[in-house]
Amino acid sequence: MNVLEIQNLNVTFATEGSTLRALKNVSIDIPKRCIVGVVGESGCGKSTLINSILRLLPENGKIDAGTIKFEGHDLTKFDLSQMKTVRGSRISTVFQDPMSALNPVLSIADQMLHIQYRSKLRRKEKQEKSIEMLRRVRIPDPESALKRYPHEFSGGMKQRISIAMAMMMEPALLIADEPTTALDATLEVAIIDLLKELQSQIECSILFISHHLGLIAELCDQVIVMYAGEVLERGTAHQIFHDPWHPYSARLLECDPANQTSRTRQLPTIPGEIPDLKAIHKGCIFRSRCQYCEDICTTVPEEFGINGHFVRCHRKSQ
Amino acid sequence: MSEVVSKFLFTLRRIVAEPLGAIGLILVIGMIFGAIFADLLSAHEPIRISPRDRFLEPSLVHFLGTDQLGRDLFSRVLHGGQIALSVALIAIAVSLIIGIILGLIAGYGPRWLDNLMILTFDAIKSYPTVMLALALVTLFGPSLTAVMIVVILVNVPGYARIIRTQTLALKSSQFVASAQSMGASTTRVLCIHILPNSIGPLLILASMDIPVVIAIEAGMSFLGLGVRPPTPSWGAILNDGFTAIRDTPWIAIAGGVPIILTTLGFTFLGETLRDIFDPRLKTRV
Amino acid sequence: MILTVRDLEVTFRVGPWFYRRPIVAVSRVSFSLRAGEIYAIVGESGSGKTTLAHAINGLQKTSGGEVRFLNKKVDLVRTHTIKSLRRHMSMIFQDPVGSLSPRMRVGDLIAEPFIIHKIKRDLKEEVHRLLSLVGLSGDFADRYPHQLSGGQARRVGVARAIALDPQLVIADEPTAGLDVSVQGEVLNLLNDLRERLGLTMIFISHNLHVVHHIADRMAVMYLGRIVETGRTEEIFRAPAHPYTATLLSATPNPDPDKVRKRISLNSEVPSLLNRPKGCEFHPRCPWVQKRCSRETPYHSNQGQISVACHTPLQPGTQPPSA
Repeated sequence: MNVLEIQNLNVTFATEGSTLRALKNVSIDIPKRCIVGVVGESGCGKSTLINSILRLLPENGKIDAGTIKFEGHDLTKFDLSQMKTVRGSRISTVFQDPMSALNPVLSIADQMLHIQYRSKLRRKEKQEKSIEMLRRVRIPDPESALKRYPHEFSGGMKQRISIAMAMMMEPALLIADEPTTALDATLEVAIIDLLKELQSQIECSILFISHHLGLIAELCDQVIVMYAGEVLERGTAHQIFHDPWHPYSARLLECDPANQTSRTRQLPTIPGEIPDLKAIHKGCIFRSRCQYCEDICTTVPEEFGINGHFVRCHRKSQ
Repeated sequence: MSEVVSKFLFTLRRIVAEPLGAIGLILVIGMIFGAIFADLLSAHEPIRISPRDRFLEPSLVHFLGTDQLGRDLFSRVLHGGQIALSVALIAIAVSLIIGIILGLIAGYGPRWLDNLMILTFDAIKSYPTVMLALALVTLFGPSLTAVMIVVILVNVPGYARIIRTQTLALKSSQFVASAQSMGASTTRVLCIHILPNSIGPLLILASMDIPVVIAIEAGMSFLGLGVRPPTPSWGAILNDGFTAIRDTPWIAIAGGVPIILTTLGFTFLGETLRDIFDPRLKTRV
Repeated sequence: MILTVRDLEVTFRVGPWFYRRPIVAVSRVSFSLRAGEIYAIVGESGSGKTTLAHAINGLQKTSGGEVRFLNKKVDLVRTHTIKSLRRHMSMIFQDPVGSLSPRMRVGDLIAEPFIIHKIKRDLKEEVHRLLSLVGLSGDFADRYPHQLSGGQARRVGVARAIALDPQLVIADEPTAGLDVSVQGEVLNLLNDLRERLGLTMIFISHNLHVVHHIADRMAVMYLGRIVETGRTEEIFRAPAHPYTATLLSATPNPDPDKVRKRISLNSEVPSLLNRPKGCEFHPRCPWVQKRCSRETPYHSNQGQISVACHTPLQPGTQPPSA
């Protein structure tokens, strides 16, 4: 049973004189109680994907085709008021900057009560629930923390509070967009551990977006590799990290300096640039940077897969 | 060069795309055209008194009629436009130069100097414009210079504040630190790195001040604090017509309508430009 | 020695005027650099590594100690000396695009060092030479910073930094904000330039794995102090300071099946306003002992590593089980 099923999602942006194809035929399944990681470099369409799910695309963005099924309902057909019942309670989000979730002029208590405005609990019970939530994200002395304001906390603590707020309504899906990028390495792993723990308690699914391969490997059950608005490969974390099928995934893994255990002066790179998404592209999107590029690559590769491991590459489907 | 031209054409197209922008552009171009070619467009001299032709109604000879001294109003309005435009441009240009220099000093200099300058700016700003005008006129006597000094005093604090805020923000940016780390002098940092990145919003706001300045000039001239007769000014024409508004309304109309049209024109144009270049400023004004 | 830093101290004053308190951002930092060497400074945010870089370049006032570069003291008061020193010492800043002046073209940006120091050369030719040196084609000279990708902007920053053949380049997080695939490119470029031009470099980073591949020697900073310094390989093989060991174990490995032996820290980074007594790492240290909270440890040598710890870790030490 899947919490979220995205099928053939196509999103375009209208820009000066041309259309930018931000997402092309993106299909993603997020099973219940599963942590799915999205790996990709800048320009791969990670933020467009989130904004499409939450229906927060900017004015010039448009979902051209495809469905986003969340708990059986197609979100692309929802109107604004229906979306509002989903956002924040059924699907919640944690962003890179915790201050995007926290209001600087309200105390933590006020903000945590605001989130529960739909709940029928009494004020006192809501308060207790807030304290309980803060305790679960390991904020020291949660009773007094409630009375304080966001700026009184350190970056790591703020991110914990914003996670507490996101998990408050026990959502079915948590979207975590680079939640640790602004934090130091020692805090990063702490946040990861926290997410894992809360996920198993609340039994929600997490869509975890990061450019940090190590974190994805550690946290996620399944991994999706995106490049220039397309899903190139998806499978379990084990499949992707141990047996990457797509040349891009394989190369990306090699590039991580953490994967080069012995000291080297020449680190592997992926030469070239991400293709211009405003131009019409023929064939495989990674073709121009691929070391195995052949004649057949000018045709669009079909998705090929076995055992839940899918790839869009002619080398595999031949 | 072609890049500049294509940028200009692009901006022009976006201005015209907005109805208000198009109206503003037409009004402003018309006004500038009238002011520049004032001598060619009117057959009469603006200050020639002709007692025989007093209070003539608008006709084919005198498009807008004549005033109490028989002067051709059409010619006076066009030449009044020259005065209004030159006061606005000169006064705003001078305010810009002073404002930018003071703003850079306040923003880049030591903290105490900044505090002192901000205090002075606020003191000047809190002084009502009319009182300032009256005080200056009693000192120097009514003249165009007095009008310009008033305008400059009114505008400089605001301009300086904008540049100061931008400078403070850019001072700690990495590209400024990068220039400093190369050994760039303070002048170079200010003129090459900070100013070009902070002047944009200021120019847009300054363009929106043109109608305000035109109104100040007209207002002071109306009150007799501005240009001296017989120099034509819209405010002076309005005042001439005011005394005889019952019998000869065209004089007041000839003085008033240009003020309204130009103010509207510059405001529409300025607002369109602001929306195109810097939508963030929308909330500030 | 190209650069000698001795007991350097940087103090900021914070708080309102009636309650101004000093915070020590960099505290008694000493190290020196030989020609052709890459020295890495590693630390988490707030460890004072950027402040240290700025102090070496004279962008930041110091409150104690001294920086000697090419046998001359870096002195903020004497603008003339500092300008001539900066001709031979350049910096690369964290933000690839943000460190380039947004209204200037790449060509003008690269020519700027020549103009500042009034070096008369064929600027057009120099710009092309430098662009090709960092692996960009000549057409880039006409572009504006916002038209560049992160990696391209970074290359422009490097070109600016090496324009005047500096004796020392200080690179502050030169790979921050870059994609993994581009990060490697930049490191390769710096390594390559070091070999071709004999660059001496201070390389500041929070990413230990990056440092591993580029630095000859490294220093680990904590709360404005160097807690451990030595040859990079030595430190990676057997970190002596518990904090270094923690940092090394904290970087997640891109292998989902790996069993992780992670050292977990007891609390968050203390505030600089409220430095712990004794060893400043003791409230978080898993190996903490009684004397750590009372006595300040001084640097001592363990093998080739200099470490400030009462009980330096021996190779193969396991974290105490919680």
